[in-house]
Amino acid sequence: MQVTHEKLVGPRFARSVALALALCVGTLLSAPGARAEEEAPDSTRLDVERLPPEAIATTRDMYAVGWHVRAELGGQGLVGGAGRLVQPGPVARVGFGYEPAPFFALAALVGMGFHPTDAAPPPAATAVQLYNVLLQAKLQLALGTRSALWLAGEAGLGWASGDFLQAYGLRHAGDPGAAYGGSLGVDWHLFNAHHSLGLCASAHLLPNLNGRDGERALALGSAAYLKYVF
Amino acid sequence: MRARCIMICALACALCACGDQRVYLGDGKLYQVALTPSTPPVFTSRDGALYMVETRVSLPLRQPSPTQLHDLQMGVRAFKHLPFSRLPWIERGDEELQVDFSLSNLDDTSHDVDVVINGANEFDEYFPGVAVVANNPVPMHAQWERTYTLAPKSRQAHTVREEELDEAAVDLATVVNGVVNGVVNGVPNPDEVVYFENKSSSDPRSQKYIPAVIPGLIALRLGLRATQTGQILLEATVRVRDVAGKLAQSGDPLLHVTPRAFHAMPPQTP
Repeated sequence: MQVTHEKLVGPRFARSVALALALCVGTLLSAPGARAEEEAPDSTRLDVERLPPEAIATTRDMYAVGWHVRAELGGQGLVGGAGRLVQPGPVARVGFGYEPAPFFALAALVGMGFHPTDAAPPPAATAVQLYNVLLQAKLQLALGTRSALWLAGEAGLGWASGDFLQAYGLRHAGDPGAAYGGSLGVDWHLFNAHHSLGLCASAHLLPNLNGRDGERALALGSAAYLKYVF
Repeated sequence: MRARCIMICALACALCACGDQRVYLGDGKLYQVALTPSTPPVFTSRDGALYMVETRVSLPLRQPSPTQLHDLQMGVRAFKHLPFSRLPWIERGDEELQVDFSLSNLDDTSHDVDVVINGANEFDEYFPGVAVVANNPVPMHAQWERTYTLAPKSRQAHTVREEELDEAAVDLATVVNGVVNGVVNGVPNPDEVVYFENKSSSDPRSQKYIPAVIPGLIALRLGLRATQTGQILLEATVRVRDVAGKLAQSGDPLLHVTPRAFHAMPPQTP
């Protein structure tokens, strides 16, 4: 009878142990299997691997073209004529214009220069302002993506303040008279569609500031400028 | 908003400050007068002579309108003992004057020379007299004067400032008022009043004669004065700052007045 009992109990225990072992192995095997599943891309994160290899190349076509303003600050001196009575001084100019094309622009410039006088008294030494209002036609040649060379022809009116120069025989110095000449400049565009910086040099003849003996008055100047194209 | 208002006010003040018109007088803007060896003396005495050359500078002033002139004639009643028949059209401060001059000695020898400036208002013009002291002519002081010793072939420059010519306007009104109304207080010595060291703002001897209304200068006489002749050149510019806007513009009728000559004479010694 006892033998029979052992026969009945022995195989049941063995099956239970085998089942438990199978469950453990199955559990252990199932965990690595879940980690290996593919995950969908997360749209909220930057996926650097999907960016283009380099940023887009800048070209001059990206720069704004059209209405623009320009502010210049520099120095100016006169040679001949009234230049024998005044010293070089600072000059400021403001321009407003339009660029129909990247290589061509029209602008109106209003400028003012301050010049200490340097002449035998009387009158006592003072300062004279030279004003000019010029129309400018500008041709520009691109030297590269950021730099350009430009040449402009300018014509308009120029006159001197007060009547200091008249005391030295320059009778028409205070009357608006013809002023004409040109400018040469270098433009350097910033990495911005609207802004550029530049340097320019200018030369203008001012017949109403010619000397009493007819000596021509030539205004020579140079300036740095900041330009904004709308 | 407040900062913006302050900025606008400051800009307006700056523009107003620049509003006075400043012009140099004269067609050529330059006045010249010279002593030469041929200049005749204006005064001689037994032991000396006095040489003097002058040029006159008049301000181109516009006429008052009939209404304004009437107001000036009526306005004088508000003041007692003014030495004028009407209020002045150009008052002190209406036109500020400045004289810049250079003095050149063209000779090879040095010279002592006086630069003299005398003024005129609408009513009176100052003429300093000459006293004779120990047989030598001694000129009375001009309203502005300086003595320069000029080295051979030399040149000097100077500026007569606005306040100095303002003092000349006060002095002219003072000496005229002193003569007209000095019966009670005694007539002031004009030489003492116009002497450059005596300022009307601080000299009690002249302050009691300063009238309540002071006419502004409408003309100047610039000149050279010396006891010897020579080749001395005075070149001058006269700048006027038109504070009251009474300088004539083109087309304005010009003010024409003939001031009385006020001859300043040395005080009589008893």
